[in-house]
Amino acid sequence: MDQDNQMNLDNPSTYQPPLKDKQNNMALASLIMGIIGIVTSCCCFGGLIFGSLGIVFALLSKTKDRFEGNAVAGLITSIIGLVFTVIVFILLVGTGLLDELAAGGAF
Amino acid sequence: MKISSRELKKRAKQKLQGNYGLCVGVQLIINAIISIVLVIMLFAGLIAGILGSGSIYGLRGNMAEYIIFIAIVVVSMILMVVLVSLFTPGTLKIYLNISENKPVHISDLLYGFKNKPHKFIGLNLIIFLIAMVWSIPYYVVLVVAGITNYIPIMIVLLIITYLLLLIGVTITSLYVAQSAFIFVEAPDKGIFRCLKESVEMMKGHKGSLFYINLSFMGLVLLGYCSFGIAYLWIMPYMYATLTEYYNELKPKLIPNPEVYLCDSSYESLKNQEF
Repeated sequence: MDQDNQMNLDNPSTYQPPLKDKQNNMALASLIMGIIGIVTSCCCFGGLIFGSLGIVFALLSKTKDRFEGNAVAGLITSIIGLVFTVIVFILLVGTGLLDELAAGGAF
Repeated sequence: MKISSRELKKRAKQKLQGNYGLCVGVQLIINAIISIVLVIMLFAGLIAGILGSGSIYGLRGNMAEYIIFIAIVVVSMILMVVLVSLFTPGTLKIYLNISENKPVHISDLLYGFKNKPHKFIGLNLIIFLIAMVWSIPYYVVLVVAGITNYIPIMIVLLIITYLLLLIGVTITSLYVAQSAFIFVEAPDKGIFRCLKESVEMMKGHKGSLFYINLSFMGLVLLGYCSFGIAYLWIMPYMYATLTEYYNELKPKLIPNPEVYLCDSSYESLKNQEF
């Protein structure tokens, strides 16, 4: 028995690296959606859609007690995207550009 | 129930990991089929309107046109109830399998079509009728208010009966919430037995289920913000959480009663003849 154990310890093939946590795809999707949300926040609906999706993905990726790094980043970028969208919308309404856009073009 | 809703949700998310593809696909298929049926019915209504009076809006329409329109609305409602009744068991079966770590296939979606479809339709129809009973006072008051030209007392009564309708439907739906799960697990049971068992299970637990449903409010709002796209992921999460809730609530059956009931003391084992 002892001999067997000794042999197993000496055998390099039995060495197993420490288990790493599996990549959470939802957290990654949240980050991507957050970035796209910021980029498209100048067009009202783009920022709204991608920002909301980013927040949903971040919330659904929380399978443990705390958020993953990617999920936190996704959550923050999505919220920034949503805030930018709201600011752009307020600016459009405030400057009266929305009516002109609806009428057929502001420029 | 000892377990908190937070724990149930965590479990649901863990179980859904790796299964999102299938669940989103299932939601997509169901929504696509229901949308196709609705669009066909909408076009049927439009064509009936155009053929009837030559105008889409039919402001000067006659009685026959009105009856055709009502018939199309009723048929589309019945079709919706039937489709939802037949797809819900399949969806619940998929989530029950995910919850119990069993293999899941997309063909499970047709579970309701293969296993006593008439019973599933009957169950949904009865639940629908029970909900409709709560709306009778509201509609009676609405008609009387219309006749009396909306006098203040009728408006107060309208609000009261509307609140009664809301509360009644909410409490009824909480009581019968588990009947579909019970039916999916045992399609041989009768409709009323399932309803009765669901009521028995929900006694003393309505508040917790109401709280869980209410806690999805934020996600539902985000779903609206994304123009419904996020529902493809939110709905599986909601279904999975409600499945975990059902699994937690259902009476735990002893898998092999003889093993537990037999006397396993040393003396009895010693006296046992092999």
